Amino acid sequence: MVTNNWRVVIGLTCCLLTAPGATWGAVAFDRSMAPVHLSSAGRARRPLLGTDELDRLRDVLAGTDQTAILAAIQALGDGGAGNAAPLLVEVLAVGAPVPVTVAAIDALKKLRDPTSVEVLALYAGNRGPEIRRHAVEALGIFADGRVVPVLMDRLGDAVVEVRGAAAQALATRGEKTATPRMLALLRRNDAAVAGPLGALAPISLLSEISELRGGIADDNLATTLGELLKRRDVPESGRMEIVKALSGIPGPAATTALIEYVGMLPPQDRRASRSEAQRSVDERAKQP
Amino acid sequence: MIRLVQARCPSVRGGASLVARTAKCAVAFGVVLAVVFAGGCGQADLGRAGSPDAIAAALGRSTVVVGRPMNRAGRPIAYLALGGARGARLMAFDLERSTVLWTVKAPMTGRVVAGASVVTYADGGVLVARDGTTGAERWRSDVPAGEHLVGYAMDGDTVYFVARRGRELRGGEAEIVALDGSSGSVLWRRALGSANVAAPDARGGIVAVPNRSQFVSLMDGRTGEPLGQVLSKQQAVDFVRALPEGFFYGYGSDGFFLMSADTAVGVRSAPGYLHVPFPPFVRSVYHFDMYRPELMDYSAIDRNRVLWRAKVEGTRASFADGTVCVLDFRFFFGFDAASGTLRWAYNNPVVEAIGAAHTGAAIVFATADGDLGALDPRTGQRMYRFHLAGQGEIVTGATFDAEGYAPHGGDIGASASPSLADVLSSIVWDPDRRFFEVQTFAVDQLSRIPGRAVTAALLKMLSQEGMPPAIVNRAARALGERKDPEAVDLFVDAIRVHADYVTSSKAANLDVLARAVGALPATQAAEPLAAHLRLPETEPSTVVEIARALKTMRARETLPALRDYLTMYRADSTYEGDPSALWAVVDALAEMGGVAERELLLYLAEDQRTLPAVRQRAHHALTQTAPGSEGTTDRLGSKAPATDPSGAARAVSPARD
Repeated sequence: MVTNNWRVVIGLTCCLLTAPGATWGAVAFDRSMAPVHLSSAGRARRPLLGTDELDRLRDVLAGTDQTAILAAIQALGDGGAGNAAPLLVEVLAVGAPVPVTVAAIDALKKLRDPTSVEVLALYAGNRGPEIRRHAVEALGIFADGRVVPVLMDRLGDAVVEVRGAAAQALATRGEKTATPRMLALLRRNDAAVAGPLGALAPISLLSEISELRGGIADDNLATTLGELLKRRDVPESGRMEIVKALSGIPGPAATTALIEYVGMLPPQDRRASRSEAQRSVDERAKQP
Repeated sequence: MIRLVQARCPSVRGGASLVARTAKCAVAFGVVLAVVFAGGCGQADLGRAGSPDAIAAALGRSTVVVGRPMNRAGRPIAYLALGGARGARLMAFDLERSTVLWTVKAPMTGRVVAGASVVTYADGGVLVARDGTTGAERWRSDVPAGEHLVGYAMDGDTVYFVARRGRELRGGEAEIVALDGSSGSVLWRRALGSANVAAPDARGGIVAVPNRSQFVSLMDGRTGEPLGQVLSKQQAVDFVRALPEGFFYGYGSDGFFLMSADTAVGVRSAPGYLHVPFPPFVRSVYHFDMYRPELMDYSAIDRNRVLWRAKVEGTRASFADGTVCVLDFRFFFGFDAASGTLRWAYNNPVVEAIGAAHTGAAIVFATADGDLGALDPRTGQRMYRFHLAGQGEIVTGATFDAEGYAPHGGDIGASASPSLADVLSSIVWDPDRRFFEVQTFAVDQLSRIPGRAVTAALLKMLSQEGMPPAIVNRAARALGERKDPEAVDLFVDAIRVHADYVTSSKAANLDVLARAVGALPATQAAEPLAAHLRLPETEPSTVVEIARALKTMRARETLPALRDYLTMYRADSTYEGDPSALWAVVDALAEMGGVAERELLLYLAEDQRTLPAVRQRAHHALTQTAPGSEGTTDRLGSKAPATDPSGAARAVSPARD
């Protein structure tokens, strides 16, 4: 029976995937590293699919009915079963058409199962930009430190959407080591990193960022400064500096940043930077 | 005043007109030959054509020509035509003393020709003579309206010029006139019997004029008496050069003859025939086309031509030192005359040479920005450098009266010359892409030079942004052919470079690198090469080369990367049109792999989701390769001896039993 044959091979392939010394994503990862305990614990608390259901889904996934496959993947991702991830990992491990691949990656993202990190890392290097973007976004949710090199690599991706996804993921993780690369991208006027860099950069880089004015698009600079302004770790003196810098930048992005800053603080907040931002917004409102 | 004389051929009784006879002669080359060999001639009595005796006698009348500058003082002098904001001027510069002798205002339309006491040049329809010592104007000689100066030459203190009236090929007339260099007065004049004539050249009291495309007429320089004519039988003649070693005639790019009794009828098999098998980029102009009056002036031909001198032994001729030099604007190349192989190269920085001459002992040249230089014609080593100080001079042309001159010392005598590899590299890296052909030639030549440094230079070309594809391709081919085991680390370093948008770095031409390391084979490169299989920017065409290289290297440690690639893309419809990358990976896995790889291939061959072309290939590969031929691996990648060739298939095909 062909289905049995596939099961054997899928099993073999999955063994390859998880075996010590095998190299799924070997560029980025070292298999000797400790397992990701947080997600494992989370997985253990989830309900499990029964054996029959697992077999049924595996048969569907190994079939050729793409609609059924996509539905099964959707169900696995949405169901959140603790033993769902290996099925999806299998799908990716043996290769599938692009729509199935994307769906499987998205489903794994929902499941947050650390066993999927390596195969996701592999697909972060896929030739399809859409697949890469989804894989990077999926990797971004894992706290696992092994994800960082992959995201750093994708920060240098040729496709802006992939760079943006990597930048966002790194910023969300608070990965400070990504700051120099992001700053380099902003110097190249890369809109993809403008927001994430503002969310990540230390306040000590404020002057360096402000000096980019004239060299990059105003909107990109304003976006970076606007994100920086929203952060709680920025002292009032820094906020004042940012507000002044934003006040000097024309365009909607700077206006939006100032408005957002004013709006994020309570009306009774009397700090100077808020007043200055309000004053700047008022002045802009008067301009034709 | 110059006056053209109605010419009639004394040998034709009844006075048939020059025009009519010339037209008849031009009807067909066969007719010309028939007339010539029947003892006939052109309409003017310029002597019997193709007669060895006549040529021998004519050349025998030549006085001894000493290999020294033409000017009476014997100083090596460069005459520089200057332009720029200060207007057209003529400068005389003593190369040996590095001093400017004089500079005068001098509009020119024709190049300077040096004599014993005067230099002459054309200024529109006027020949102008200036004192060689002071630059003062000595005389002017007008060409009447309707007549055109074809060209001029000097021998000692006699000026010879050829002028034409009417059409060159039909109905026109021409004559040669000898002027006294000191006064400009006419010494003699003679009709040339055809308007199809070229500029003259002269030495040792003999003046020579190419005419009717295949003839060169010799005349006595003192009287204009015709002495003989050579006939080039197998090629046209568009120049004649008078050098201390003899007269030479030929066609700009086809080669040329030493004039002698043996070449009275010039055939290429003659021992006096000279020609170099240059590489294709060389514009093999041995001398400018003297039929074209516009080339009397300094032109691009002065910047792109062959510089040569000959060694003459009796009627035999060879290129001096077995070397010829090619000037290609900014670049000088020394070629082996017999084989056309490159001996040396010189890259003049930034500015092109506007003129150069082979003095017999040196290649002297001038650049557009006022640099004067000299190269050793045997080695290309720079022997002399002088810059016309700080006046912002623009040099538009140069004539060198420097026969036999070789600089001694100079300001660069002690400096080490760059190696041929360095010079060729500098040519390739030159950002001026006008010299594309020269640059591709330089890459080809560079690739023939062994050594690690050259390999590094070729590798650098692969990854250089903006490098023309043809150069990259040549560098790539060269790298593949070099098989330089001492440079493996350079290949590995180049392979380790990955594309990064942040740093603007690009992976070098990996397909080339893969071929090169595969050909060595360099197993150290296997892992870094395989790493590219997991990168999105690696093109499928490159994957083909990577897979082939890994297979050639038997790099089993890269099997996981190959497996990853195959599984990730085996159902990807973007590979449907061209599955060659997946085929190459299948082949590599089948060739190198063990049980695990054969299991995978079998699975892919049977799975309907695998692209049909890949399924077919996997199936084919499995049947064509013996399982375990390399020693099988178990599922975890450890090696196991291949004991049962069919074991792998059975392990994954229980349903068949």
